This record gives sequence, C-alpha cells and structure tokens, in this order.
Amino acid sequence: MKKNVLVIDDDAVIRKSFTLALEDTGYQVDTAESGEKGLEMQKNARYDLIFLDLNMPGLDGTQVLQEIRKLDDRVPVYVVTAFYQQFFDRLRAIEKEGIKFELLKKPVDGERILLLTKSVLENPGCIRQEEDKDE
Amino acid sequence: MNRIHRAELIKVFNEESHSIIDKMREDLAALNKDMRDKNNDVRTKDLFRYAHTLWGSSGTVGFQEIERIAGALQEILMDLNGASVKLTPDIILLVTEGVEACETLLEQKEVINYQELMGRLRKAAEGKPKKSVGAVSTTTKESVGTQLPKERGKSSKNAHLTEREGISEVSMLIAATAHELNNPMMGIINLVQYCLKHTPEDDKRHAVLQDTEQETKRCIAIVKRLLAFSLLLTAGQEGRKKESCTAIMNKVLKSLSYNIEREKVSVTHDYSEGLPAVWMTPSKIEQTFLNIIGNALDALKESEKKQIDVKVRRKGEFIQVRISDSGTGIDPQNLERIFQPFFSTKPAGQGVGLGLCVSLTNIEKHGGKITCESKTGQGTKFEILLPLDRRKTRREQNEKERSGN
Amino acid sequence: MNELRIYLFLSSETPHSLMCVKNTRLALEERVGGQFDLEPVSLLDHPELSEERDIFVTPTLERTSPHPSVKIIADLSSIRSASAAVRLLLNDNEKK
Repeated sequence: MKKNVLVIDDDAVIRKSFTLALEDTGYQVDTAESGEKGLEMQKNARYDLIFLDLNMPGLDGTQVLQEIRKLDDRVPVYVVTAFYQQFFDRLRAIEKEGIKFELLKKPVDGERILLLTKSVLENPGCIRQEEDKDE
Repeated sequence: MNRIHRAELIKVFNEESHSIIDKMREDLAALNKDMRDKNNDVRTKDLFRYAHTLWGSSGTVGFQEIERIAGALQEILMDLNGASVKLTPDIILLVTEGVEACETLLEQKEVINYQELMGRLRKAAEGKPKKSVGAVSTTTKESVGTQLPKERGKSSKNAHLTEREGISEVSMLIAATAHELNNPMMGIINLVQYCLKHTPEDDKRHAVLQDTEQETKRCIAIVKRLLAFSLLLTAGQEGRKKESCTAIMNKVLKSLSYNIEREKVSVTHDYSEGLPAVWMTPSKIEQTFLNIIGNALDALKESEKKQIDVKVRRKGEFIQVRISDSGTGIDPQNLERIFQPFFSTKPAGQGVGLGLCVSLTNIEKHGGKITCESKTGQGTKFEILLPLDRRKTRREQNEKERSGN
Repeated sequence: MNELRIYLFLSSETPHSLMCVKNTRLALEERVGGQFDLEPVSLLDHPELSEERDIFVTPTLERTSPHPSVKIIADLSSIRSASAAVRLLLNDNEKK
C-alpha cells in the first residue's frame, strides 16, 4: 500500500518545500495549513509519517501533538522547529507527559528531507548522513 | 519597514509574556481580595511584589509604558512606612493601569518604534557610565567590569538600559529576526534545489541555480550563527556542580599548551593550596578562562616580552583568579568597550568580538565579577571573582531571571 | 585511540527515548561486547549540540571514535532496527 505523509504547517512555502522534496518518491504527500485541519486529516486517514510545525496560530504544535497521540501513539511525528529555547519550553511539558516525538531542525533542505523520509518509511529504517560539504 | 511590529516580538516571547501577565493577574486578584477583606488595607510587601513583577516584565518585553508605571509605583511605595498601607486611589489606578498596559500589549494593539528600539540599543552599546553596569567608572579610567551588587542596586531604580539589559535586548532582536528568516530561507533552498533537479546540466541556468543554492546556504549559515549567539547569551543554569577553579585553569592551560609553546610564551602559575571548590557550570568557566588566555596569547604575538601570569587564591568569600599578560595593553577608549558584543580590535575575519561579552555573561550568571585593568605599554590584567556561597550564586541567577535577563 | 565512542542524539527523555537507548546498548553489546562508550544526549536539554555536531534530526547515532566519524539516522524502536543501525554505524565500507 502506498505510504502517506502529512505536513502540518501554516506557512505555505514550508508545505511546498516538503511537497517538492518528496515529489517522484511515490509517497502520497498531503498538507494542512492548520493544526485543526491536520488533526481532521489524521483522523480520516492514518498517516505513516507526520511533519508538524510548532508555532501556529489557533491550535499550536504541542496541542496538535497531544491530540494526535490520543488517537495514535505509534505514528512517527517530527516536530519541525528552529532549535530555540523558548519553543523548547513548550516541548518540555510534552516530554513530562511521556509523549513521543522526534525533532527536525529547521531550516532543512530537500536532500535531507528526502533522506529522513526514506529512513522512516523504508526498510531497514536506517540511513547514513553524509558530511555537509559546504560547512 | 520602519516599525518592528510588537506582534513579531510577542510571537517569539509569547510564553514568557503570558506567564508574567498571569502572575500579575494573580497578584492583582490577591490585592483586590485584600482590599475587600481588609477595607483597603494591604501588605506593603504584596504591593512591592506586584511592582517588582511589573518592573521585571518591562525588562522582558521592553515596554516603556510599563516601565513608567512600575517606576511610579515604586516611588510611592518607597515613601510608605509600616507593614500595611491604605490603598489610595492613585495606587489603585497605577496597579490597574499596569495590568491594562500589559493586556493591551498582548492584544497587539501597540507597536514599538524601530527607531526607538535602535536608539536604546545604541545607547546601551555606548555604555553611559553613571547608569551602566560593566562600563568604565569615571574615577578609575583603567579598570572596567562589573560593579558590586550593592552599587548595581542603587542605579537600577532609575536605569533605562544597563549594559546587561542592552545585551538582553540585542539578544531578543537577533533571535526574533533570525526566526523570521528561517522559513523563507528554507523555502528558497527547497525551491532552488527542486529547479536544479529539473534543469539539465548543459542548460546555462544550471550553473546560476547552483550559485543561488550556494548563496542561500551562506545566508542560512549566517542566520545559524546569529541564533547560536543569542542562545549563548540566554543559556541557563544547566550542569552545575562543585569544581575547583585551579583544576579548570590547569585544563585550559593544558589545552592551550601547543599554542603557548609555539608562541614561546612563558606562563607562570601561582595556585593557593587547599582552595574550596566553587559551585559552577564548569564548561562556562572553562570557556571564560580559555577566552581570556586566548586573547592574551594573541596580544603577545607582537610583544617582545612574552609572559602570562596566572594566580588563583581565596579573597574573602570569593575565589580570585588573576590573569595578567605582558602585552601591549589596551587603549583607554577601547577599554570601556571590551565587554560589549561585537567589539573587537582584531582585523576583520578574525573573530567577531563576542568572547569577552559571553565571558561577562558567564561570570555574572555565577554571581561573580570580572574586571579588567590595562595600561598601554604595560600589559593587561583580568580579575575574576567567583562566590563560594552556593546560595549567592543561585540567588543572583534567580534575580537576573526575574529582571528579564 | 581505538576506543569506540558513540553519541545517541535523541529528541527528549521520554519512555520511548529510553527504550531506544536500551535497544542501541543491547545491539552494541551483541556486536562488540562491552567495549564501547555510548552517550545518550537529549537535544531538548542541549540544543546547542545539534549545531556543533551537525545533527538535524532525531534519533541520530554518531560514532566519533575511531575516525572517521559516521552519522546514522535510524529507527531505534526495536532491537532489530537498532541492530541494523549499529551494523551500518560500525561498518565504514558500507555505502548508502
């Protein structure tokens, strides 16, 4: 069955980044411009991988994460965030509740989005990260 | 483009602002209750606590209106005697005004004028001596650094921007801007990479797209550096333990031993025996020593006499660390500014001038003090004091966090 | 310096993370006995390390010693997947 990916982010260019990066992979990539919309989509079609923005108006990332976990504690959820202490404070509350999530550091380019997605959705589930030649 | 909308800053510091407003609402509710129950008598200390919260919040969200209200309230409270005070209409007014101002802030109805913020930052960078911590004291032009806590307390009542708050403002501005840039940067790099993937290599646009990708990566790297800097300045108290300053110093000297030998610098050390350990984040203290000795090594490059002396001893309730070099010394006009962010006398490309600024922050977060004395032609002396009393270290940290550092 | 040093970068310290650490440890023990040093790191607690070590996602395994350093992005939620990751981590010659 075709693997499907959900991207929840209020910024159109971020949603577009994921869509473009994962074009031609054969995965079904769906996007949601709000937490509420994203939750609804997850309820209707269990996704194999979710990318979730932290900082959104309305339901913010941590609230969406909590709601997702109520429905499904297995789906890998990657919280897409610039690593900033202030945002992390919200995540600490999530951590305390023992809710599982992974971190994806923003900004991330297409090559790395593809690498990560493959490592999650393909067997054997691990992949090597090349040295960044431009550092 | 001339106004930084308050909303942007608030978006970034939402959590902190909300918790401060919540605290203020609590305080106000308690005050209201007291007023009802005790017929307008309230405990002075409750009022003080409220004013303190207001004051603290003004430091965090940088809103002059709140600062004005907090200042006015504090002035009134200073004049009151006794454990309880009758709430006069003007006090009640100020208390309510304070909460209203903060709520308005959160409703994003106010904007901060970009020019105003830039002006305050500039003033902080120039280091007005009388009102600043960490600036030159006008009596001894040769020494600069942190003032002792009681001196700091005197000026903070009327302080507009101390150097410490200036650093905090810079940090806030940097973080907010960096964050705003992250999304478009991510968008651009992905859009360009997509185009590259779908442009044949022999197409003349391919090379241009590659350049675009390069330049975008360069922008991202710059934004990362900015964010890392702002993180450095606002890092907290993680990883604290009891550690010996002598041990840290030895570690630093050892890690620099290759450079010391290569530059043919003679290093002497004089460590007192049996010194008690200090409650610290070892990596931060290590970073500070490393920075100062590293600077000394750079200063000695052009010097005939190449000597660094390191002394660690006890001075009352502090461990005193002195690092002196026989270098060319620091010009008096530069001496005022060495602890400021982005100040550097090195040629462009060699460091960005953050080392001493970060060191100042590190030491102050430990409740310590760092000062510098220097005379051109006679070398430079740094003195670091770290408190032995663990409670003092923690109290200083809490105080700084409450005042919106 | 032949000592095997490995960092496991995790998002946080949740039961799931602890399980990943346990799986990794078991997988390593299976392959190299007790001769390794595994250090789990929570990026929530140490975000600055992501920049220093160029870690962009969790979980990431990084072998820092012996050289050259290798980074593996991996699913560590089962012993089987952790073993695959460790195999990749320790085998220099294996291509993507």
